[in-house]
Amino acid sequence: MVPAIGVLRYSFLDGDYLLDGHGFTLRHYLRFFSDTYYSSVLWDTFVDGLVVSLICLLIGFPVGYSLARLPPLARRWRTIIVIMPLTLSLVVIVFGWLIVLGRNGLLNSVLVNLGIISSPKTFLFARPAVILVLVQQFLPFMILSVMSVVTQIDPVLEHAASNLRANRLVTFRRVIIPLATPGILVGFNLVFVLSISAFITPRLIGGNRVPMLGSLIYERIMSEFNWPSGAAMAFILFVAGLGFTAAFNALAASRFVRGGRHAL
Amino acid sequence: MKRRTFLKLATATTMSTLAAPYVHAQEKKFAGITLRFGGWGGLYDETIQKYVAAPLEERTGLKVQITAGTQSADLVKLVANKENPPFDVYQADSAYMVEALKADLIQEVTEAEVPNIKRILPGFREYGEYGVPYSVFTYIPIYNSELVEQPLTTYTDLTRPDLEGRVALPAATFDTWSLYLLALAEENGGSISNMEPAYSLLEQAKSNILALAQSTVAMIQMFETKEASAGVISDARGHELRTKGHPIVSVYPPQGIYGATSYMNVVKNAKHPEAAFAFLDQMLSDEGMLGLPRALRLGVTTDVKLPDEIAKDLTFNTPERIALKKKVDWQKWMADRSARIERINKILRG
Repeated sequence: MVPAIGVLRYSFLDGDYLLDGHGFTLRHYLRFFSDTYYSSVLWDTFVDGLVVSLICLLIGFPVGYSLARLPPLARRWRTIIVIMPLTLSLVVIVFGWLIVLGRNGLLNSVLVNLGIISSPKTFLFARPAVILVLVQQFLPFMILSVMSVVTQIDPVLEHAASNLRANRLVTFRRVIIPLATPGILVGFNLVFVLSISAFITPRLIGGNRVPMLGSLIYERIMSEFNWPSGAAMAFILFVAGLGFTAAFNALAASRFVRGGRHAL
Repeated sequence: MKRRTFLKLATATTMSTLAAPYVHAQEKKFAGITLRFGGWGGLYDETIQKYVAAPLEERTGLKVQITAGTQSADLVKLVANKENPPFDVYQADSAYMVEALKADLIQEVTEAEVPNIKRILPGFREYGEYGVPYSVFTYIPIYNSELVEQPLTTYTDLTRPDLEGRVALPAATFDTWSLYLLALAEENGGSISNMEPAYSLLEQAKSNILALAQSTVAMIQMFETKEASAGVISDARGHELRTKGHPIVSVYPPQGIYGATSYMNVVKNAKHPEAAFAFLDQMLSDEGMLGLPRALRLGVTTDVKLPDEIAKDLTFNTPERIALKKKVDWQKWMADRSARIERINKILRG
């Protein structure tokens, strides 16, 4: 809380340089909202966050579910494999991707050898590359969140649904999803919040061509030394992120948890 | 010899032998002192360690702790801890010297404290008694001669249509790296007060820009993987690419070359200012000054005699080349940085 309060305080200081701010002003907020560039970057950041979260959900749910249904020993080893990327430095991961996605990289080599493309293409420094790397970084959070909740769902419930002549799709939609909603929401929130605040990946993989608000804040504070303006941008991202996740959680809970209860 | 006498002698000899290094160390001027130096990482720090820190420790007992970082991050750390700074010596280039002075972080260094200052060549101390210049670097256009058919001759050539999607430039957040913007302006009728020609050119040639690199490593990687076929990089890194076998050609535009000087500074409230002065003096000595040219082919700031095999690879190795060096109004360049960064961001996004 203390750093967050500090950021809030700085954001209202009237100054453009390091700690020299004084007085009270709203001009850093006004500058942000009056310039369409910043609001468009905020919008793109949220869209990217949503896309990354959805992709992580689509990949992470089946993986988390299957892990949860494994015997404990097999689950332990597979969980270690899932967690392993988190033990690596983010910078190492990003530089690894720079090599994989480069013109002489693995992806281009495979595509050329398979005859899908005739000559190497530039995959780096574009939005899809940034999203791909963000998904790889944050997927473990989704898998672990889903797995931790699904392990609490008694498999007997699925058998009961089957006995009541529910097919697998209906069981999945009316039993598994409502009961796994807390895990899905936690995973979705984690991935979303981590994605919208990412700054290393957009800077290195995006090469300044894919602006996200996190990287602009980093620039404003570490390169321009305009701490009050950077603090205002950070606080806007914080409030917008908090508001979005709160609204999303409320919506998802009303849709799935209540619906699930009726279904059950 | 009596047994007792023999034992006394043997004991005395053993004790003096064991104590000799300790006593010797105590005699050294900076024995027991550790100087904290804000490094820039990699080969740069290894060179400073080898040619400056190690000989100094051998001679004076001073230990040097080099912490790799960046000048912007180090500056922020110093601002946040003015009373108890995390470094005794802070490195900054010509642009960041403006910031260090503005934030009142560094102290004056005179010839009385660092005698080798008298060896610095005229024109290199851009900030009076502040900062000890120890290295010169330039940011010049380069290209891969296997990938680019028509040689580049100016900074403006980077905007040629045949280089679409193949130009790697340093990010605008790096103030000295982004001097290519000033070059683009001045080559096309603009000036430091009128950067519009540069912005207009970039707007038109936006599709040429592959990426704005956020680090030297990223920039080098783009050339090594042939992702980029032209761009702007420091003369030292261009040389590094050539030594790795890449067909990289450095361009020295006839309209002028843009670069900056690296400085070492003694931080205000430094724990060991005397040790910091000794470190700076060693940096300016022949031994210290030859390290960076040997390792990275960076230019020197003193009257040190360079071996021919090193001198031939440096940018400023002839009077004609030296005459090409453009003078930059760093105060103005830094005052406009926020607007410049924002403008480039908008151009790239638009």
